[in-house]
Amino acid sequence: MTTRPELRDTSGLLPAVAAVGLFVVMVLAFVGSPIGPATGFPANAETVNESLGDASLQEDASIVEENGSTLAVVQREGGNESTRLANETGVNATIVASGGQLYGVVSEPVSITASIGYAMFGLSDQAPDAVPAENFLALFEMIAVVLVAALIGAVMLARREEAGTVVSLFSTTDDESGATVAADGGSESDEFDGGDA
Amino acid sequence: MAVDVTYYLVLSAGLFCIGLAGILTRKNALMFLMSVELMLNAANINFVAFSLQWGNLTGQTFALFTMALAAAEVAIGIGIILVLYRNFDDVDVTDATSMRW
Amino acid sequence: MAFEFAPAIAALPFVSFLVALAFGDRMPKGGALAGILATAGSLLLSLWVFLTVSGGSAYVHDIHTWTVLDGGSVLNEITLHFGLLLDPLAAMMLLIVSLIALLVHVFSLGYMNDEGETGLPRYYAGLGLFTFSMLSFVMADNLLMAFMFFELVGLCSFLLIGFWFREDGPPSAAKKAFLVTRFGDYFFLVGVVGIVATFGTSRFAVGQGAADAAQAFPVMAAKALGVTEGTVSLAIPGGMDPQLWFTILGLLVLGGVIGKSAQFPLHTWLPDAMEGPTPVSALIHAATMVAAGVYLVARMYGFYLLSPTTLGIIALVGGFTALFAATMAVVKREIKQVLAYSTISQYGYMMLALGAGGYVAATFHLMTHAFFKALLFLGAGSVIIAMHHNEDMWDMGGLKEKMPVTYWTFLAGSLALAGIFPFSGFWSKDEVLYEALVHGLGTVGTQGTLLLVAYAFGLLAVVFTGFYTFRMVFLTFHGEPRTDTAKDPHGVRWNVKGPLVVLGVLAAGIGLVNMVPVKKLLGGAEIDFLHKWLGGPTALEAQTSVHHYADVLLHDAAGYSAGTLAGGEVGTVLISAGVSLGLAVLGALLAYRLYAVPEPVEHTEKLGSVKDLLYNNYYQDEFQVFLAERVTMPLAKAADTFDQGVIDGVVNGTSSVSLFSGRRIKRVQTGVVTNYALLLTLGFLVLVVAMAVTGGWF
Repeated sequence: MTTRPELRDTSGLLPAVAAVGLFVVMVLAFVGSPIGPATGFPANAETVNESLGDASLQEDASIVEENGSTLAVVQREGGNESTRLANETGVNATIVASGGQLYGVVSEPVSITASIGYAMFGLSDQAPDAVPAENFLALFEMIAVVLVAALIGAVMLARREEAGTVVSLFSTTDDESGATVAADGGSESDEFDGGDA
Repeated sequence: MAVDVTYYLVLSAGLFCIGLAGILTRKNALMFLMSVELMLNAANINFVAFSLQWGNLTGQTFALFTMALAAAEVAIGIGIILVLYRNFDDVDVTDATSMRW
Repeated sequence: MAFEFAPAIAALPFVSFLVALAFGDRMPKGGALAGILATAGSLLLSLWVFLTVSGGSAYVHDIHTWTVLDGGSVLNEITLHFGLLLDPLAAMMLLIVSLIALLVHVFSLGYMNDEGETGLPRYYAGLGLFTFSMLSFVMADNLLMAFMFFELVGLCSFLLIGFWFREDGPPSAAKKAFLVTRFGDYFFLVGVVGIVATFGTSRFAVGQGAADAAQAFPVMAAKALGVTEGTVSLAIPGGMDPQLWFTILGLLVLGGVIGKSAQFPLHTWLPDAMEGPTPVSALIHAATMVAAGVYLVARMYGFYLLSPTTLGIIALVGGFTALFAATMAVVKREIKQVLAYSTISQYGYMMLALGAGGYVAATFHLMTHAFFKALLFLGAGSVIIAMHHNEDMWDMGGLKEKMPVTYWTFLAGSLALAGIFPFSGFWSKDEVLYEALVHGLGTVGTQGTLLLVAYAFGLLAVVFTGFYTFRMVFLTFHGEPRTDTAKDPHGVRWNVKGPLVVLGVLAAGIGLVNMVPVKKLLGGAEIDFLHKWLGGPTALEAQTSVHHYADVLLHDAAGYSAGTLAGGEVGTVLISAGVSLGLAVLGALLAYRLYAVPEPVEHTEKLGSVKDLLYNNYYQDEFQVFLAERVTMPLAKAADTFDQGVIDGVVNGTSSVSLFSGRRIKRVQTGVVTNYALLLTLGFLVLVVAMAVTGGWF
């Protein structure tokens, strides 16, 4: 004979109601708050930017891939002027005109994780086209210390003392001498009960 | 089309409150600890959502650090539960009531 | 010039007090020499002041102003200060006090030092402090300062009565003395405050160079009633009739006087005060401290004369006390008890004189009584030394041959006390009765009748006085010795006999300064030296001189006038003197019949049921204890209940509220962590909702 599922017998419904109430309040606050559209991350970033000349030459400029490299070719009267843009093919190269000038631009998709890495170690000046972030080097060091401390703390808390032995992470000693403090609540022995008055 | 950040916030609020409900109602100390982890993760979601909102990677990086912190906290927490067990013979948080009036 | 040194009169005994207190145990006589030197110095300075005042100058001087109060629109500034007033009355009293203090100090060498008493530095320090306080009281120029020293002499009396504090009797007697006089002093204090609040000052007199603003309050009161010329603004409460208010003030101050001078009903402390050493009784409870009350009335006489009602009450109380105490003295066994009741009785005479308008008579009797009563007490002290501190007269007898100096001086004092011609007591007591008689006859209405009734009391007391005085003399000194101690008494030395001789001469002869009957017989010869002397310096003519009292105020304000019996003034004097002398001799002869036999026996059984009444002092002590237990105690208990229940209850209630609420609120800490988390959550929820609502998030 089974019984239907029941809620475990807790101290009433008040805790659950409190949690739900908090949720309702937070949702109401979030829904009603005026947050604008997301800025988002840039999809691409420029890696190479070469000036090709005047903007009027745009129809005569094109991207050519040959010999394992990408070139920007401008057709002039005297011949083709080619500017090497990258030493590999398959890159995203375009001709862009802005501000009355013509540029050959190679852009790559931005790497978020690379940017995170640069930011974390404080190498943002070595990263040319990273997404903006703050310098986290100090915090990185602090977290390292905290983790080490947590490890040591966990090991210390796990240290166990029984009658006559101390059990720790790497050692188990026998017959510990008298004056040890029972940090974990003590053992069954009555050796040190304070004596008689 | 990006997801509106409000949805992320609602999600994080929901996770937080689920974790809170766990803290308020669970008796087992390990379940207590798991609920705490849940709340931390809710906060993480919040960080990442706002990182996208402002276009700044600080949020995502900080979320990584928060994870590390959570790990450290769990290490100590497990140690405390161990000592609790040794003293009270059970991991029931409602049993350990020596420091009361 | 003498007046510049006047503060030293009081300062010297104060220095001896300090010396005895600090160095007494290192001094050979325990501080006695310091006291003797100091009082001798005071005596010389008092003599010098006396001579200067006789020469016609007076002295009113502020020594130190201790605060200035704002009296509002009516009274302007009220200055509270210490000052000296040296006029004839004060000079005379200074002389009396310092002389008797000196003699008592010398006597104490014999009574205390030679008898091997311990704690002498404390004794001489007490005497020094007392002398200082009494002299300062005498010299006080305003009522508030007088009150302060009035209280201080009361304190010294307490200290000295309770000198042998390790026994049961003295501390209890000291406490009783202090409490009974304090009860009277409460009314006195209210009176002082009333006077200061009404007049803006409590000065008795102002000097010649004083500013216009400073006036004496008796003078102001007389102006307010229209008795003397001048206008004055007073702050009389409730707009009541000034005469009524002055009567009330006078009666309030009279409360302190009645307590201090041991008049009925506050007389019960004086017989118990005999527990103190006999020199203390001689100094304090015979001659000086109990005189303070009478002196105060004399000092303020210009104020009292404005209220015939108060005067009548004073006379009636005095006359009644004279008779009342004299009846109790006739059955007492201890020699000092007889003298104590005698003191109460004689101060009754002085009050009678003051109430009847006899300022000179009262002052004269004050002086003679100081001398002969101190003499009698010192003589009793000599007898007590001889009898190894046994005071019971029925154990004495036959000391006449063994102690001649003591006997003859004691006899002189007794003759003065009884009022036998030509000793000093006769002249002064006779003048008291004469004044009461003539003013009683001459004044119309109930006032005159009142005075005559008081006169009758006083006259009847003369018989008893004569009787108990000579009973005392005959039982102590005459007949056969009734015990072994009396057969072989302890000898006394010069330090006991010397003061006795000095006082004996004074008691016998001082009456010559104011023999009014002789003056009247001789048709107005100028031999009433005291009367003329109290007329005093012209500077204080309109304030504290006897001319002002007798000529101006007595008739105009109090409405007294002198009447006569047959034969005009001379005849009245002779009749009055003859009657009082005759009654005194009658009492003495009765005592002679009963007690001047070799083997006297107690005759108190013949009094019948009256004997118990007299023996128990008319149950006055029991009555006062009854008042304390039945009237004061329930009031005190009610006040205590109010204090404990309401006032303490509020305080305790506050604390119990916090205790109770703490006991309830502490249960929040259940020790269960999830409960704490729940509280956190709920609190956070409430806060966020509140902020959201007020911040308009929704």
